[in-house]
Amino acid sequence: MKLNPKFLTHETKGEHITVSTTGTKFNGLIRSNPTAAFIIESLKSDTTESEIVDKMLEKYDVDRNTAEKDVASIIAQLRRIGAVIDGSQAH
Amino acid sequence: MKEIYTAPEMEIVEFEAEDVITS
Repeated sequence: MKLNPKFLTHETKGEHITVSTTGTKFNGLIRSNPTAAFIIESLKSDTTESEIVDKMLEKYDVDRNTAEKDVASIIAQLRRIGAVIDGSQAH
Repeated sequence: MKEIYTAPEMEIVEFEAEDVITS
């Protein structure tokens, strides 16, 4: 899975924004705190939930269960608005 | 040294039709 290329990210003054462009059902933007931004940035290359969790464990002082739960929640929200695409869609 | 963990949070803002800027 990966971030839908029709969603663009921008960081300014410490604020991370993801914006939909034309051709997406969702029309709006996503404001993320640094941890959510880390997950979104990880999705810029084809990856899996467990790979993102591993990266989180390397970077943050967090236990695996918490990281797994939080990553799954963020990805579910992104998937719901079409910001995450899977498998054949990602290539 | 690992960073202090903060739970990830996102605010999803959907534009309304009237937010579309038109000459």
